Amino acid sequence: MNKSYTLLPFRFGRFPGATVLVVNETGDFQFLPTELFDQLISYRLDHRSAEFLDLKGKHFVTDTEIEPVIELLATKYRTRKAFLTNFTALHIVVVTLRCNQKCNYCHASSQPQEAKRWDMNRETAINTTKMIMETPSPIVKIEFQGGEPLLNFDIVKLIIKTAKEINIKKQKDLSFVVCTNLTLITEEVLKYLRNEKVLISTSLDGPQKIHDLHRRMRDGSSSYEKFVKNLELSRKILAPEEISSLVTITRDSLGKMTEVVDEYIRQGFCSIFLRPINPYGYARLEHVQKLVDYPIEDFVDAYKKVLPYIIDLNLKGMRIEECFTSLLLTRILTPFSTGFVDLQSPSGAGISGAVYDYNGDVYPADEGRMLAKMGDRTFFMGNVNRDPYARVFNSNFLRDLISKSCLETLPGCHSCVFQAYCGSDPIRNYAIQGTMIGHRPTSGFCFMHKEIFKYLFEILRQDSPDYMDVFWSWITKRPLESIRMRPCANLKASRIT
Amino acid sequence: MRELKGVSHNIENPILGVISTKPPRIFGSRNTIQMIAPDKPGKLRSRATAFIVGDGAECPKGSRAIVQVAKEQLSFIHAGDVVLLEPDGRIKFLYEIESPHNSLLLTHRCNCRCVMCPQGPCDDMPDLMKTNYAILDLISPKTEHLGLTGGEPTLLEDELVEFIRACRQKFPRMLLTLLTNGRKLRDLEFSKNIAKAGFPNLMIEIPLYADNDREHDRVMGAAGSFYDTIAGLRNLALIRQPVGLRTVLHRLTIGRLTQYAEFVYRNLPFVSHVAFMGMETHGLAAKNLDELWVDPYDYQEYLYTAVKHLVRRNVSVSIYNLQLCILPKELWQFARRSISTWKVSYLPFCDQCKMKTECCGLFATGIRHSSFLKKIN
Repeated sequence: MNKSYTLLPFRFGRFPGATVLVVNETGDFQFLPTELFDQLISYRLDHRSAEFLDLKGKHFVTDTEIEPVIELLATKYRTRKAFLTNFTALHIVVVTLRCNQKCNYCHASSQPQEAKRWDMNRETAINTTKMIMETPSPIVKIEFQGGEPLLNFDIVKLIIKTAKEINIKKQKDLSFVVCTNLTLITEEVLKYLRNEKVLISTSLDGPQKIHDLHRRMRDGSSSYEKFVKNLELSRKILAPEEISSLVTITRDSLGKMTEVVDEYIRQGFCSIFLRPINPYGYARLEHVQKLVDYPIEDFVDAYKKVLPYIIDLNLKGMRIEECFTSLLLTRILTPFSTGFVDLQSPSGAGISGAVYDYNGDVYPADEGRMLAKMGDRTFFMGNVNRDPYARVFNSNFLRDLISKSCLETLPGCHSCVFQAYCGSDPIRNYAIQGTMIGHRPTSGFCFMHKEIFKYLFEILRQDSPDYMDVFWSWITKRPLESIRMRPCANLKASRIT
Repeated sequence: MRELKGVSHNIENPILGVISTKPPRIFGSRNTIQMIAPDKPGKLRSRATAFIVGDGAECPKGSRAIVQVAKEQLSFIHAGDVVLLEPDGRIKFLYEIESPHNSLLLTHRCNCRCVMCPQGPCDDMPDLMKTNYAILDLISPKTEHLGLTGGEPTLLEDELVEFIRACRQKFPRMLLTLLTNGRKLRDLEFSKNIAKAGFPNLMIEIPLYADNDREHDRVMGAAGSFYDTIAGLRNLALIRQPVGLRTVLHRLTIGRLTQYAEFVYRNLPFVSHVAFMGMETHGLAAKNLDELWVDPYDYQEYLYTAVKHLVRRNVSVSIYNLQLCILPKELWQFARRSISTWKVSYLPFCDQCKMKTECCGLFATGIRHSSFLKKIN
């Protein structure tokens, strides 16, 4: 056949309305009517047509030189994968397993408030900090989790002090986050956090009746009122952007997502992260599952219902960003690198994030720690008190884990149209499906991401100016007003050829 | 460049100098052109190299080099301007102290033949760079910005690097803007040398006309120029040299302006800004006008969509050379007064337009303007 152009690598997926979405290795995408798509792949597309030039400008085809196009693609690919060059940046330290709450869906398998044997000790804290600061990454974020980290706050302070001391020489971009239910926070603690520039990440599940359903104090009493009172106190001392919150969506809140969003706005949060409940920790126990879990389809439906609601709130002047949408859109619409340990390729396990348990055990992700807690130590990487950095982070085990998490080589992902934007989670695959590679056709994780991608691409295809303005305000982290340009009513719309 | 016409006396070769209202103070100081106005008689036995004398003022005696001009014209000449006095009485302004856009033309030669080039390439006089060095010696130390343009300045190769270094040595903090098509910057060593010589305040402005080689090369009149320029841009990104892009709006570029914007964002996200430029209908643009002309009024929607595309993506945008009366109001915030003072002209009704002081005006050199220009009330 006489080919007047060369095809460059891309993946495709069929959409309703006789449309095909094509996406190349670097995330450039184009919708094509099926007829044009057929012409394209059978080398019958007129290389003088506008459609051809659109595809050429996005590097799906070339009718002239090939090598410089590959160079452009390579540069874009490197840019998108830049999160790999730094190595581990997110370090989660579990300073205690004790908690003053007993949430029935707890991911972290918390222990009673008095059980001090579940606290991290000083030696482990110092060794943990030393190991963290050995990472080659110029950016280091240390996140304190629990249990409730405020129950072992002296160790939090010790780690912050030690890390800052080491950093005098290392000069990394060092930041701290404490994940707390806020119920134990005091003015003194808040002032410390402000002075040391430590951010707060807390948990809010919705209005009181939803929040208190699962988030209970150890004695079974309500946690909501304490939370709200202490949030108010925190806001007096910390800036709005220094306090964020995560929501756990249970079957009770699934049908009430708008109420949850309203509550987030009422409590002064400017972002919400919609994600389904994780199948780890106590949430994996059968009797708990019955209480909190739901089919993943239901989550997707709830997401599709609540996203337009959130967008409308933004259009009405209430700034609230849906972080999951904004992460996926950043991958779809921008050329930039977006590391997100739970959804990247290769997986962020160990190489982007790591977890240090109260006893110094190191895991590639919190889910690995959970599995160990339940008796499966597959993901145990080493211990800060016994093993040197290189043995923990340069192990054959970690190499193997990472090599099993590259989408290009995973069955099902290899030809998926959304590959350029998606990621893998080998630990979740292992936990749920029994192998790190996993099985896509029966994977809820895969189903959910595909459905959400399809939904977002439908929105992108409709190209509503209002929606796009909100999306870009999220992606570029700017106020909506700085993006909105009033549409021009009397534009001369002549076709120029 | 701006010119005034006077009557010359005793000028056989062009004289380059800096305008002064006073005689030069230092003994032996050269290149001073003293301005003498009728109401401010100067010291006639000054050591100035030459004189510009307003009609009605007393002229220096003897065989001194003099250009006589109408006395009203004196108000267009300012102490600090660098001018060339020609034997035929023309005064050419090579640097204007009051102007924010002074540029030095480094060469007339070019390795492209852009279809809308307002000047068109030609060969250089042998002493062009010598003159540029002389100008550099004369311009005010307070100069905040200097453009380096052509032709294609990179054709000077190491001579360009030397000249940028000389600029930087004389003006350590001044903003230098180098206007180049970027083709020769595909040589990484050359790019590095230029960036180093201009550090810390060099901006490189590069024209890019399309998201694909076929259309860009057609505008540039040079096969292979697209990928040369892209390679040049990549080199500049690699060495973190600030770079801006510009495109000229005409029939060959306007139809795919949003695709152009998307290409820039996806492939060249490091650029500091993107400028959309109305076409100066002069030179080759005038010659090729039938092929190129689209009334700016008719391409508003294309421009609006492309600008919006970049604004959403937080890319800084400017619009040059387009009058406010033919731009949608939403785009006014991006329009710059881009036409140099000496090149700008207005239509009679512009005097009644309340936006005149915000508007870039029209190119005096242009042979065709939009048919939809009007005053704004």
